[in-house]
Amino acid sequence: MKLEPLFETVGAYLEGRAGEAETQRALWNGAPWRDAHRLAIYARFCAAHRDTATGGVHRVLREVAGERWPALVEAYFVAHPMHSVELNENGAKLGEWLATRDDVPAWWAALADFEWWEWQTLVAPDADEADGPLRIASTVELRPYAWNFVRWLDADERSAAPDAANCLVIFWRNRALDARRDLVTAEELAVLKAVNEGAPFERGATFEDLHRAGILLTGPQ
Amino acid sequence: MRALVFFEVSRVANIEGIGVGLRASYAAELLTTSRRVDWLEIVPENWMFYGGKRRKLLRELRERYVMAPHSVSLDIGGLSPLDPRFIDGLRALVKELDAPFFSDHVCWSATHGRPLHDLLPMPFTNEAVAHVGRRSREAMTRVGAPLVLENATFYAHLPARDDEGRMNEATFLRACVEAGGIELLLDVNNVYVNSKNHGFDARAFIDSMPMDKVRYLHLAGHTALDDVIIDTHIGPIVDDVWSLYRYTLKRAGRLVPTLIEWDQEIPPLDEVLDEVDRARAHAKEALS
Repeated sequence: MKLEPLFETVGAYLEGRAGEAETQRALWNGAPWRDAHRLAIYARFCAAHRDTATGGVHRVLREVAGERWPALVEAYFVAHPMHSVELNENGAKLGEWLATRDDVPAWWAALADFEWWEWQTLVAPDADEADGPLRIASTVELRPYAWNFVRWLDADERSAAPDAANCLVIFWRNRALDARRDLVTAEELAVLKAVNEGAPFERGATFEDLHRAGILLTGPQ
Repeated sequence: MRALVFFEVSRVANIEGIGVGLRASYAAELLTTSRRVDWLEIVPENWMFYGGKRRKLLRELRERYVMAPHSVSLDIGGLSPLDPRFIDGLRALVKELDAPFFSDHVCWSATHGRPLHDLLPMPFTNEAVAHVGRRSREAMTRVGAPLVLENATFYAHLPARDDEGRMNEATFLRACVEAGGIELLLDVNNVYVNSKNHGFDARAFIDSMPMDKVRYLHLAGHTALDDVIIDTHIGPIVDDVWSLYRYTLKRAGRLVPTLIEWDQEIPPLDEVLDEVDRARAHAKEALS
């Protein structure tokens, strides 16, 4: 069998787009090699990789979704097939995709977005953050949520669902290169806005906190 | 006439002795261990795209160890164009690590440019040999370093007819090495696993390998199920694989650089390094 039809047939099976019986028929036409049934091992491996690609980053969502998780993952990858050799990047659209579904709680999509940004913060490319003017660190991301995920995730005992509450969350990498996220106060937001716009502001305790955390950078580190 | 591929000769790093696969769970400990580790092999996909702590750790490790990249996504047997982002990343990583080569597997791993994230078997045919040869030369030219390909485990033979030049795995590997102008990463555990799963003589397979083209060896654990052995890289290396390792070194007549892999259910670093010590002892016995 030529490579092109062979890989097309096996690829469709391994992506979950074709069944085992039709794949076996297409490959061996009723006279399978003695180990043909072991093609199913690869199908299991590939399904496991799809699970890891999404469940590695979205650990809490995976736990929350419980028994629904495997079917959701398979449906997600039908809509958004693997595209990246970096495994986790293949789950980038999970939040966006969940937001289009009416059969899951709305906060699941937001949680997927939240966990995605925790991950993005951890692995964001390094920027040249040595000497320079006062600025916001390159890893900083501000995102609004309609649920208080910060309090929910940090609780000693997590409730079944987070409280509905409009929140602005800041994600950043601290000076020890750890990923951090927290709710943003009005004072912090005012300082960040001033720095972003180059406007004057008072360098008080809020500024010092943001600078110490590595959210604001200035001068040699 | 086949085009020759030339590389810069300024690289000084070279792998020798017994190394270990770099895994995130014990990577930081490798900076401080007093035990002997001759070199590290890294999976580029797990390091090259990240900044932050992981990037910093990689830089620090490079100051102490010689490192070589061993990828799983080159898709050397696949039909999609080589992934330009991945190739560019490999080229940069090889340069950053001062690596003497880059390695991957004789397999395909993507369909229509969509990674499947597994090492899928090639059909052992003339068409596949020619294809792997062409792609290998292209990859070497674009990455700018020699390519070393590993014999992968395979659980199912893909269909191949006699009029397509059907051959066995050993013949296929030799032909790929020749067609691509590449070197071989001979995974001794894979030879053992394939020999058990497909019923051939592992030592005869080793005998048929072009030992002068073997750049390094892999050793790992595996998992025996009811009717098949899976190459899980779990657990200590079994006696039969140590025996095959000693046989391979005797055939080679030299200490071929060797790499210990332990990729799932990873124990504390010291337990992995116990395997490194065992490999060193087996090598000494084989070559004494």
